[in-house]
Amino acid sequence: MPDFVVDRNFWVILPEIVLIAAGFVLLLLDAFLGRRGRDAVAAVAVAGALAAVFSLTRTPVGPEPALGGMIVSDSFGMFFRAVLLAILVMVYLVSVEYVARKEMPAGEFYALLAFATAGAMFMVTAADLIAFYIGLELLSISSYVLAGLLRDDRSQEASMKYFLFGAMASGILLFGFSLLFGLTGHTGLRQIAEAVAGQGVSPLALVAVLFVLAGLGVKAAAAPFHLWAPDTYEGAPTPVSAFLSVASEGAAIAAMLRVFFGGLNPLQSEWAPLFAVVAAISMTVGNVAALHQTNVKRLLAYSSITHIGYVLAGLAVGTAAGFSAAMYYVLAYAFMNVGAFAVLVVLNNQGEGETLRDLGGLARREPVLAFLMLLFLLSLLGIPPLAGFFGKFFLFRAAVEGGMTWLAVAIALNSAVSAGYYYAVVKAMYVSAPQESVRERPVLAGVPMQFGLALAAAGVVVLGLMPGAFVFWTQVASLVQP
Amino acid sequence: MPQNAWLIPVLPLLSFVLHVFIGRRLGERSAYLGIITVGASFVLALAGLAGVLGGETARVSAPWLQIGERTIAMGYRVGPLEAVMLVMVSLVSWMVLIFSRGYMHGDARYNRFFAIVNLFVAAMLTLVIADNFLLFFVGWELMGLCSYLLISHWFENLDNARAAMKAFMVTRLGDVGLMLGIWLVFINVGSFRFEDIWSHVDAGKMGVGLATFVALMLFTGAVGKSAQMPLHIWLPDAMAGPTPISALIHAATMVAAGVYLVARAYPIFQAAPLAMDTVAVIGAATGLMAALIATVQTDIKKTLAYSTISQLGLMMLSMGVGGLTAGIFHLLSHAFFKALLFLGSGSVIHAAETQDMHRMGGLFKKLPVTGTTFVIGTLALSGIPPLAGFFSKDEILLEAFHANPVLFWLGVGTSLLTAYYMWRAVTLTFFGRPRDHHVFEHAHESPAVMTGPLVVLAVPAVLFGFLGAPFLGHPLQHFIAGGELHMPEPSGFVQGAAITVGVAGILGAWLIYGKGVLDRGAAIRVVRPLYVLFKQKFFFDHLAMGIVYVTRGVSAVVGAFDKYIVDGLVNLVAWLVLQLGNASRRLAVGSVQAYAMVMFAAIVVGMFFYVLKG
Repeated sequence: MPDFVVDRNFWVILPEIVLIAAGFVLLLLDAFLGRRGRDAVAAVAVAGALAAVFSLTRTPVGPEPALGGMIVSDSFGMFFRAVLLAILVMVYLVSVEYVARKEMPAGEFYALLAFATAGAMFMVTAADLIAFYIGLELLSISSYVLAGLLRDDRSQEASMKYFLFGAMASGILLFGFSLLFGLTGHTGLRQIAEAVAGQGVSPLALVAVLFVLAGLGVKAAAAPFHLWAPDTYEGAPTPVSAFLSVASEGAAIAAMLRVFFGGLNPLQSEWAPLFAVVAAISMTVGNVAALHQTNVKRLLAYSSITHIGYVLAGLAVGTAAGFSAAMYYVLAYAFMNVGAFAVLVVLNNQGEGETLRDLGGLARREPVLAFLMLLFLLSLLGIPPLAGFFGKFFLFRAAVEGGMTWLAVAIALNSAVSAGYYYAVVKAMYVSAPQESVRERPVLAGVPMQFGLALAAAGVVVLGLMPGAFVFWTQVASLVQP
Repeated sequence: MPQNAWLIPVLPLLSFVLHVFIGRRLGERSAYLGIITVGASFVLALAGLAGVLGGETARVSAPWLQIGERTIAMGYRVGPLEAVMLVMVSLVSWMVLIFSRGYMHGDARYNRFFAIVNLFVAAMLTLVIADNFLLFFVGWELMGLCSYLLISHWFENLDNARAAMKAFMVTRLGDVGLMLGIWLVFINVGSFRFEDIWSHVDAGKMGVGLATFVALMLFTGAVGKSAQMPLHIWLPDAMAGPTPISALIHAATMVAAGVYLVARAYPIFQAAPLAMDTVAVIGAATGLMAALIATVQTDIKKTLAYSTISQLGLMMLSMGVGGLTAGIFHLLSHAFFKALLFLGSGSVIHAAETQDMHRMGGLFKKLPVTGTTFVIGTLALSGIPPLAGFFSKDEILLEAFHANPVLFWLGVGTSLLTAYYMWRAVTLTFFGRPRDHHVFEHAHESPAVMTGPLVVLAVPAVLFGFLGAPFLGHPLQHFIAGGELHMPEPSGFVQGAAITVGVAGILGAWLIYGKGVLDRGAAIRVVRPLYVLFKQKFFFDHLAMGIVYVTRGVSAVVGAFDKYIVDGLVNLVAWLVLQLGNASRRLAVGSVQAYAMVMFAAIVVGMFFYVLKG
């Protein structure tokens, strides 16, 4: 037998390999087992995700590039890969019953989620513009299909809008990338940083900054590039909305951190004010629009724009503290937002909608579920001692210490405003009466959903009570900027 | 045993959890959960007070989080101030819970009511023993949530839901200031712990400018929570909630949290003379304004609500002129007799089934226990010696007397009006001839479960004042201040003035409403502009509504952009497509174009930014 040596490159991308392999297995399984094999497919999907988590723990961590300089397996990348896999596991658990009730093609659904996550993971480990772009496209194309998997008009519309807008964003991003390549002659972030530092500020470099910001801004759903998000999140299958709002937006934030703090770091004084403006606009626009919503899914869509605004404030500050605060916020946000969407999934599973009326009197129908929703909403609102509070606190502190007090004030004011709509949901659950038609009907959640909710709730509570270890991780990651 | 103090808030919290899980199965028996646990909390609080009197204090703090080189600690402290506050809060809560068992009987959301009240009690007790701003803020926010949920308890009436929203938004406005203040303190001091903050400020490490700003920010939070001018507008509306809630949250405990906050951050205020003056002036102005409005109210609960605002104003006045102990003294004594008065009004409303005092009259015969205790509460609030209110109010006036004559006379005016409007309420409700026979015939005394708490609360309303009486050497004040205490020089003039205005106010109300020496209609005609001014509550609500309309206008414009421009384009294109008979392609392609325009416009704006920046 030949001596088979598996080189380091293999180990570095093992989690992604596992996920993609699992995706193909799922497609095959679905083809062979048909509709009755849905539960088996779900089980394999979860197993695949857990295998990816396990292989992530076996992945070497080090700032040396792999795959010919295309990706780098540093602690920054490890952090976001862990976050993305945690999101995938939660979304899988949350989806099992939904997929069955809505008669969605199980194999495609789980496989596409796996592919999308793998794409996002490539994005957060990429050290090269080309690798970024490939990861982004894998994430995006899978997401377009996922958004349209329900066979109704709204889902189709969501998918189509997302696709048209996403394709445009890809174009804009590529244009920005090609300008960078033209200016520097490199696609590797490290080389770009060196070249840009040598050249100084040029008008073309600024145009590149604008286009890269706009292109990634669309993926992150930051205002004014957010207009697709409410329609897409409202129409897409609810678990997919949850996935997009945290995984896709989180990966985009990670990419921004890499590209701007890495390759474009010499231009920081040029892009930081842009980020500050985009951050302030996102927070405010998301909030003002959310105040008018009666559909909770749409409300959460607008609120996600607000939260991205908070995160971008961390980037705008441009310090190491802002960097790690943004990372921490993405982590906290992943748990609380998936949790909030999961509660809506439980209602959808019963054939109920997701408006404030549908949530009416939830506390009387299912107190535990209502309490979990309360927990997620309070965390989103930033009430101590939950995860969201520290997220906001770190960002606020970074902004004040970084000399951007006005941005800190904007965060505080917007948090206060956001209470208006989060408490509207609380009020519906705890104060309003249930609708007549469902007054006596209990709200039931299957076992996978219970695990999913428990995972999200545990994340929200643990991150709030013991933020220390996670903060340490983000700080370590911020030291080894690409 | 102050070491066990952590149990005091945990017990009601446990009760809340039990309510959530098994409350509905217990039916109306669930009320006992809270009565037992809060009763136990009261006993623990008494034991804690005994321990503190014996010289023990509890300071428990554990590191909780490491940020950089800063360690954030979590913990609680029970010293003299916390010990007396614990006893007051747990006693009043306990009485209110017992009263509610009768008052809420048969309510459709009985279990929910008790669950939230328990959560509220837990939150308030947490706030009291918190040794750091973080935990304090948790309690503060939870109380706001509970208050909101309880005001809208009878949400079938849309007005109640609106009142709850108003209360929530107005106090939230103050909370923004509080949050900013806390964060700034942390950034400057590096700790949330009160003791660290105090020693930091006392060492003069916080500049006057920053201290002033921080103090004003914190005070904004207190203004919202304690319903001070101009954020007082929510409290009268909050009377939409069940009356026991008005007694507990909107009179005795939560609204006093603002005063307590000022006490917690007192060193910062003392380092900022401008902030102290602001506190005093806002307090004195609020006191007088609310008392004036109270004189023309016809709703018994609204009268009490404005009275509460006015009394909180007096407490703030005391805080602002340096009378920390006097303010706390009045906070405690006011809690007892105002809870008594509110529960008494609840008993009256229960019997008369109306809140309009002009439809009552002569109810004393029908409600002897309620009537007697209500009169006791009124006399205590009016500052008639030797009841509780006399001593505490006297002390505040004394502090103001030594500080500034204008503030002093504002305080005296408030006291005069207080005695007047309270006795007016008593006369209209309990004495004279019944004005509505239907109400009178159907009135009956409330059951013992409701009158019992009234009698219990009447005891401290009568006796509590002696704890701080000058001829006994101010034992309460010495206890709270812990050692060195600077008491202002007693003044016979102040005491005489306080008694005189108290008696004069009562006499005036009796003459006008009891004897009818003054034709009310004629009197109103004479002072018409003033009457309108008071009746319209100094037009504060109009002012607030104006601001709301402006905000709504802005948000309507934004909403209209969303609705008509963006959606309009979508709809226009969809309509055109439909007109072409291609109904299947309702994809709203046009909206994507509109969206894309916005996006490219943003990029263009960014380019302009760079061009202008050069």
